[in-house]
Amino acid sequence: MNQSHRLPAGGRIDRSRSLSFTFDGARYSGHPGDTLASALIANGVHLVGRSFKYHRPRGILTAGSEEPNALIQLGLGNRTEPNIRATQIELYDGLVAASQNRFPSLEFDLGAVNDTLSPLIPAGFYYKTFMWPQRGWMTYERAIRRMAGLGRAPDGPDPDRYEYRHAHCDVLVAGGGAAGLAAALAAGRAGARVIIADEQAEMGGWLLSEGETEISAKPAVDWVGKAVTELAGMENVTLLRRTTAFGYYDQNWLGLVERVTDHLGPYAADHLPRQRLWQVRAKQVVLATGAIERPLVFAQNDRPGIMLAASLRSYIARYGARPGKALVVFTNNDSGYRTALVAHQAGIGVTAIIDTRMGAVGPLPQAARAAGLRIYEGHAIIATSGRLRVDGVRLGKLAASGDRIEGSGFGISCDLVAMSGGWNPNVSLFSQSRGKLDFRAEDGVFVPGQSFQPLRSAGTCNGVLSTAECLAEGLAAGAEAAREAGFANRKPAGLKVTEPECPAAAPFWLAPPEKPLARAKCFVDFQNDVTAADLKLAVREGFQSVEHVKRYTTTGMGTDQGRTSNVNALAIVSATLGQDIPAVGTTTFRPPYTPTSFGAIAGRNIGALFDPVRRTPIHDWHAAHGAKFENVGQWVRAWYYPKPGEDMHAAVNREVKAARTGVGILDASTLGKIEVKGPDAAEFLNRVYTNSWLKLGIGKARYGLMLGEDGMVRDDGVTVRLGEDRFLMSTTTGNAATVMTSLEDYLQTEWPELKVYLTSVTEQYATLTINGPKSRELLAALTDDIDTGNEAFPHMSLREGNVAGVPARVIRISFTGELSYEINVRASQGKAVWEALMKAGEPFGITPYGTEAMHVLRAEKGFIIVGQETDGSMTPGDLGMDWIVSKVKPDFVGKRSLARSDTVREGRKQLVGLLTEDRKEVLEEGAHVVETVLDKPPMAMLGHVTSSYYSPNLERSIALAVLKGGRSLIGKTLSVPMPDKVIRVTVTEPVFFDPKGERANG
Amino acid sequence: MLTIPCPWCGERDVHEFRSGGEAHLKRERRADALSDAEWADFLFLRANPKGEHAERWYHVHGCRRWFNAVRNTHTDTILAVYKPGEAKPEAAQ
Amino acid sequence: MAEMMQDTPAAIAALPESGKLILRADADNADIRAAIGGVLTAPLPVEPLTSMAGDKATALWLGPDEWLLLCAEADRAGLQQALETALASQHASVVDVSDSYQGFSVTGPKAADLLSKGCAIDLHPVAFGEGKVVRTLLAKADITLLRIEAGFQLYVLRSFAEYTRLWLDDAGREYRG
Repeated sequence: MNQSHRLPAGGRIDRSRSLSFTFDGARYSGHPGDTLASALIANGVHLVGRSFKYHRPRGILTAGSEEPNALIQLGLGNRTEPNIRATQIELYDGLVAASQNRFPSLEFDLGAVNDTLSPLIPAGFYYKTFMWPQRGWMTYERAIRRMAGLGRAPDGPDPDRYEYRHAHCDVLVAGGGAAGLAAALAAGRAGARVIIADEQAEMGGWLLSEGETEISAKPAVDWVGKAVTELAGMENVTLLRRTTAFGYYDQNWLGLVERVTDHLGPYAADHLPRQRLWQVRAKQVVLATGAIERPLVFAQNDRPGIMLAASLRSYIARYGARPGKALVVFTNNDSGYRTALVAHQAGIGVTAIIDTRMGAVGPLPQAARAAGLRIYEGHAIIATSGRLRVDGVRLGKLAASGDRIEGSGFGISCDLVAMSGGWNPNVSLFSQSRGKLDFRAEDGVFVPGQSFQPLRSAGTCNGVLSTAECLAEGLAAGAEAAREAGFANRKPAGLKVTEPECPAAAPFWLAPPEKPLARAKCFVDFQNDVTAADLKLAVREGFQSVEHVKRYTTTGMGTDQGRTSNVNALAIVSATLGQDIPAVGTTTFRPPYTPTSFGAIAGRNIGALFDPVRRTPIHDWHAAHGAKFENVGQWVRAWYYPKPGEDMHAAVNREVKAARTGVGILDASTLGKIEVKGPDAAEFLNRVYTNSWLKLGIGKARYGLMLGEDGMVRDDGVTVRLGEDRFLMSTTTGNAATVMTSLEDYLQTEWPELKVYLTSVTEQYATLTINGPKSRELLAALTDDIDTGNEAFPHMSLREGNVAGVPARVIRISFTGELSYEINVRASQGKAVWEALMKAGEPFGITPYGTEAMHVLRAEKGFIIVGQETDGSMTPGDLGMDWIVSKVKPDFVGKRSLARSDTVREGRKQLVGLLTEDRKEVLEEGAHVVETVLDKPPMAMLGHVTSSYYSPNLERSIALAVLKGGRSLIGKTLSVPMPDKVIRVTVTEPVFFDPKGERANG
Repeated sequence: MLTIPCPWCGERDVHEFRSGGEAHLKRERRADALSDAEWADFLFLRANPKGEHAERWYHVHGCRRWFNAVRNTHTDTILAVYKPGEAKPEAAQ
Repeated sequence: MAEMMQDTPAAIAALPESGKLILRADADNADIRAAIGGVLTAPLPVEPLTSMAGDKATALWLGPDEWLLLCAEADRAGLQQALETALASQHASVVDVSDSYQGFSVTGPKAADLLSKGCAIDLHPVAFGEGKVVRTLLAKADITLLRIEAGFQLYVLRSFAEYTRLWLDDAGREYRG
């Protein structure tokens, strides 16, 4: 095994097993427990990517999810995923990873010319340069995107499964480090339902990387092990590893993404989802999200081999890797010394400790001195060198002011630089929860202030630094949260901790570079290539708000949301403006905390589960008989039934003809049906329909038009009176639920005095409509207890009896103008009755017809379809339906609006018919109608075509339209301008067939 | 995501509800007596306060009851819920 | 339908045909409650989100004046008749919806986990004990959900049965390893 940079012992890796992986085609090995980042480091690979804008060589900066540099293209084919942080990728055997944003190779990248040109492309370069000509942006953008890209998205569909999971708990703990584990223990012991989530494979957080820390006189990792075992044993605790709390929303609702099988790569079991999106509603939340080490801003601080100091400790202690042989530590606080000592003990040569302070006296600096490490006090790095990896630093003595160097600098060789600028509490989730941040001036950090939701922060995310404080805060927060959620408990006993002392230190924002700042490349935001000079330029150019500086320079706008850069950027902007940091303000963190896959957000709402497909009880028959279907909302309805060799036009013509000459049969089961029951049922209908209902006889049917309060037509349908206090209302297919909601609204809130109950029975019945001159004979053939005679069973009436041997409600109504019966039977019997009708109808040439033929048939009669002839702006009068509006009722919904000045004015759009000069020409629905055709739009429009078909009964095209002052235009010739021609049309009455309506009564 | 405490079913996700707009609008059954302007006021004009607002909600995916809620439109918090016909409570907590 | 053996972590089954009635009445009226209770041989559940099982029917609270009555298919007509008779002098409504809804059962130790993939209600036994009933959403379908000893029963509109079946089957895949 060629793990040249693996320490001989130590770390939480399983050295008994080796895992093979490739990076940019080269084969390497690592161990279970490694991340891709730690395995690369163990193989001596530091150069892992090219930067976003300047294509500078970049290495691994951190050991956690805040990593801005090491963004990797992971996997192959449709499973490939871009921009994954190498620090979060758990190694598995056969892993394939590649670097991004380089051509032709990582070592030799042509895009690196941008780095040479960097003085020419400062902040705002794109805005300033690619503005003219404006349309040129389309071209520029493509080229810029190629140059300044990240990884590439897969081309094909995602082969993996993603699932959702709703969960409720008393206490949600975000973060499984010292504070989080302690909080979960306290809350769990109190009996609360606890969910604890941590983004890493192992709970423990920084404790896993801190070999020197002892809890209860044992190594800290022992305490982690015990805590996890205890939590796992509690039935009321759910432990979620590899789970990122990425979003904190209203009312303690948090989004978590659990990476269920990502760490298994191709070995994942098929039945498991790749990721699971947890939607957790927590009574109380404990944020234990830790802290992120702050980089120091100095010249060329971005070379591979320069990393955060605590992360270096993590690579040594947790992963048993040796990132280099000659270390320079650059620090403004004592924890840098801790790193130096850990490295020293691991056998890494510590070349120098460079401390921006003078006379550090803490135990760690003293230990470093005692170990004989070389310390430069009051110094700073002023330049670095090394093309693909750092090979030296130059340092100089800081003036007392800290903003310039005294005397000349000097160089030190090294292959590793660890920097420590202090710790930023990780307040992302707190900020997302709408909590207010407070600035703590002594060490320059933002800490959680007043919170908006029931939550508490504990541990380093709350601004404390020591493990002892983390545990104490965690225990207290967990206990309090449980108490608030209703679980009484005693104050938990404290834990004894032995650990190196690392007090907070005053911040150090910008090391003065040797070269002029504009050429020094002091990086603040590594992911977006923003330097201190860019920030100062933005301020010079007049940007004062941090939000504007952020957008202009793009600092903090990468996928890491500026996790390592925001506070440094803010401090540099503040200093440049000459203001305090709190006065300049901070930016707001937004979900997701780390990038979250679209797959997890989509979940299983894909394919057949994307949206419910509602089918009628007779659907299978339609499908078996070759029907083509159309979607009507969520319903699928039979559209037409082509015979072999027929196109849609031929099939629809045949169906339409049959329904007027023989008998057709339609599945109308999707119509909404509501049973209206109660002594005030008739009065209720009287109020919600425009016409009169009080005197409708039992067993009689009536058509009704329902308006909105604004007087506009909302729905229509036929209602039958089943008994003195019982009606069966039908609604349009699309409005069934809306009408129910509106009717319940009137009953519950407006007219609670009315004694009426509503029950939806839409799905209780299959509705089979037989239609045509032969339909009476067909019905008669299948019933023995309904007298089907014209007198005995007149138009607009109901009979109950048996049809095809099952109980049925038969309503004689017509939506086609033909003799027609609507047969309602229990849904479970619908298909059998349909089949019986088909069989009995054979002698009459029974023809099933679909929704298209239905539309043609009703259009021939000029019957409206709500939602087609109406669009929420048509009154009954506009539709020529004044006949259905009662003149005598004192009130009905919409009545007053029919007398508004706008509804009675001249020139409203009115429903008319249109006949084309060319009988074969079928207008397009939606086409505009004009009086005078101009060369090009705009033209004065009169209205538009709402319905248009070829009518086989009339052997010509017919159309309905709504036109301004339409009724006064009847007889006129108008024009319908189309892209390639102008169609001449004559305005007619909207009824084309059987205008006297004799056929339905026959 | 917001939850709304249905007066009957308790706290439920906002997905289960449909908003019905401003509460306590009085529909005049003898509206003929109203001027066009008065009627238009009832039909179209709605309060849009920053702060406390009495609203109508329908528990469409639950008990299918309409009810009223006082919501702070600024903080998006529900201060009180009450049944139709009941007076708006002194909501501010 | 993936009809599974009972020892699976989450068994999904379509329920056989049964009688279902929607009852609407004023629960504040003691006479009405008594009349209904007499027919059901159990008090009408007036407490929200509860159910009550009688000899021949189980009543599920759906709203303050609305209940779903579940009974055997054979008892459907008789129950409707008996209620209509008992409530003849009252304002009430009894509507047969037996064909409107399809029932499913989800049983086994992972039943709540399975449903929690699409249901935002807290299904933990401490919050959702036996006999509790809610109307809510399962993914994109309205459901009436009832906790039974072995797990859950849920009722969806007939036209949502296919979607619900597909959804349950898909959600159960994880437990069929």
